[in-house]
This record gives sequence, structure tokens and C-alpha cells, in this order.
Amino acid sequence: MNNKRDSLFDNFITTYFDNLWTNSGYLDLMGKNLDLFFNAKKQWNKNMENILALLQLPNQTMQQKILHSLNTLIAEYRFENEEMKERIGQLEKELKELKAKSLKTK
Amino acid sequence: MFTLSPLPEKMLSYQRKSVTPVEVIYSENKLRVLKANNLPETGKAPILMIPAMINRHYILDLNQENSLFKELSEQGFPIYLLDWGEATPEDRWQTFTDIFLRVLKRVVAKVTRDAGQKPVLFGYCMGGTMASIYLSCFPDEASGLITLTAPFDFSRAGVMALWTDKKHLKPENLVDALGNVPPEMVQNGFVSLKPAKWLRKWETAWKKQDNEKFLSAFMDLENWVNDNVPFPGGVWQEYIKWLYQDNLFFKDELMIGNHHASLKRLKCPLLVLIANEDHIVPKECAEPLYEMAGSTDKTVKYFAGGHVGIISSPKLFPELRDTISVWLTDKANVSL
Repeated sequence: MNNKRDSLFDNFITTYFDNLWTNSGYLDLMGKNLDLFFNAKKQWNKNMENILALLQLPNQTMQQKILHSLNTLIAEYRFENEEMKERIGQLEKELKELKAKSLKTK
Repeated sequence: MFTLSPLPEKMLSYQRKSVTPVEVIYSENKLRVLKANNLPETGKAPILMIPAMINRHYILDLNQENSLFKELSEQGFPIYLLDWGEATPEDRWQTFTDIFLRVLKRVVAKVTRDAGQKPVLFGYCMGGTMASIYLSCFPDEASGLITLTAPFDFSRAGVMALWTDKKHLKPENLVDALGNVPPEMVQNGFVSLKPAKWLRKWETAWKKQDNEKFLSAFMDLENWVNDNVPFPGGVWQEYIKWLYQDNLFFKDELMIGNHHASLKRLKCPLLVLIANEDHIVPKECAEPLYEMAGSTDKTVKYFAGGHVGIISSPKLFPELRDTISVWLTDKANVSL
């Protein structure tokens, strides 16, 4: 009895939400609401930037872009630096081996 | 004295324990590449595991009973796990293209150097799509590809395809307004897909809360499910626009920088793993990789279970682990 009731309940919930999530009217409405919210937030961000610009202070976008560029450059520099060290290490090893070989042949 | 039931008590006291001992072989920005260091090397093919960017990496190293990372390392495979880390506001400017041309390029190079041979790429969910895109651009950089519940034909991605439809969602609008995509947004989206299942899950947990083993496994998974990370805005914007909305990878029109990411260019051995009851990546959305890949040596396997259950369920996990292990061992003997 309990199982049957649970199953009916699950079916009801599943059907209800499956219909809701695939209802184009509902999705249109939610999409429009999201756009309204995002546009309002964008306007707020822009106003804040203008205020900071008036005060000759860097805004959030500028700071983020600079930090992102720094992160990218540091990652590239560290990677290339490590790669170069590894290659130099390998070349030194090969050179040592060649030297040892040439000493033996002499 | 007032005592709590085991379930709420466990919820309040839960702390995740690390499973496999690791060393960090490479890091940049927030990303780390972890290498399992619990066993000596055996000369087997190295594996680089790439999880989705929306979740924590430890789904692949969940607990002692369910860790693909641990099990494969114990079988002697040198294994590496990519931890994308937690994006902070400035990472909003990272792009999908950057991930392939810069980040993954460096990660694969590091793993190849550390292991002494090209790795097999293993991607879970979005990580599988990313591994495939990467190898479609640079087909010589890996010795094999395994994808687990990875989406390819985004027009058949079920409800997710409807939610991300151009008519309802403008990804650039969201990113301009919020920067990174908040983890709550993604998390709520997944829960909303099957609300009845979510309720039933807690009901089962309440009923079985006296079973310590069950409760522990339940909390390990529940902790992971709720431990989402912000999705870097720029990456998400291009991911949604190019893959979900324009379906460019499936249409063979995806360009990453000046590289044509074409599945026809894939030539390494390929294993496609699909969950039959997956509601996040339905099987018809995952199957095209097998059909379209240029690899001559390709295999597709279907499993019972859903998107997360396939890797976290104690019942389903052994079959998945054995399939991967047998495939890797077979391929290692032939061509990897």
C-alpha cells in the first residue's frame, strides 16, 4: 500500500516537473525574467564603474582583467621555464655521457 | 540527554577524508595535476583523468570502495588526476579556447614528460567532451581515449538542451552580469531535473541510517554533490553557445583557435562508456562519439545506472572498473 502510494506520488511529481521544464510558455517567461535580472545587474555594474571612474579608481573589470593576464603570463612563464630547465638538464646529461665515451675511446 | 539520529549526526560531523595518497606534479593558477603515488611503476600506459569543470575532481576518488583513481593505480597504471580548482572572479575572463590551446596543452605535456610516454585521456561527463575536443585538435598527443557519460550531440541533451536553448538563455548576458556562473545555479539545475528522486534519496537515507557503511558512502557522495565550484564565465559562455546552442562539435564545425576540432581526426583507440538511465547526458546524446570518431579501434559499452550512479554505486562500480581495466590491459598489449 505504502509502495503504491509512494509510486503514485513520484509519478505525479515527475510528470508535473517534466511538463513544467519542457513547457515553452514557462521557459519563455523564465528566460525573460532572467534577462530582466541580468540587464538590471549589468546596469548596476556599469553605474558602479562610472562612480569609480569619477573617483579615478580602477573598477572591478579592470582589476579582474589585469589579474587574469598576470595568472596567464605566470603560468606560461613557469611552464616554459621548467621545460627549459628539463631540456638543459637532459643536454648536460648527454654531454657528460659523450665526454665519458670520448675519454674511453682515447 | 538529547541525542541525534545517525543521519543528522553524520551530516553535522562529516569531514571528507582523502583516499589515495597523491603528489602534485604540476600546478598553475588554481589547477593542479595529482599523481597517485601509492605503488611502484610497472611500465603500463599512463592515464590522465579529466573531470567536469562544474564539479570537484574527487568523484573519481570518492572513497575506499569507489575510487577509479585508486583502483587503477593499484593495478599498476601510472595515474594522474586533473583538479580544476575553484575559479575566482578574475577567471571569468578565461575562455573555452584557452583551455585547449594553453591549459590542457601544458597539462598533457607535463604528464607525458613525467610518465615518459603519451597518456590515455579519460574524461568524465564534460571532461570527456573536452578530452575529445582536445584530441580532435591534437590527435597525436595521447595514446588512447576513454569517455564516461560524455555529451556530444547536444541537440539530444534532453531537458538541458531546452533550458539552454537560444530562445530562453543568452549566456553572454549571464556572464556580463554575474561573471562566473554561481555553483548554486548549476546545482539547483541538476536537482530540479528529477525532484522526486531527490526526495526518495533522503527517504532511503533516513530508513537505512543505522547501516554505518551505507551512511558513510551516502555522505561521501552527498558531500560531493553539494560541493560544486563556480564555472569560469568565459568558458561557460563559449561552452553553452558553441556546444549546446550551435552544436558545432557534432556538426563538425567547431574551431578552436585555428584548429578544426573534428572527430574524424581522432585516431587513437577509443572506449565510449554510456549509462543507460542517464538523465543528464541521455545515451543518444553520448553515442555519436562512437559513430563519428575516426579511430579504427573503437568500443562502446552500456551500463545500468545513471550519470553519477555509474561511478558511485557500490553495485555498478565494479563492472565499470573491470571494463576499463580490461580495455586498458588489452590495448597496452596491442598498440598503446
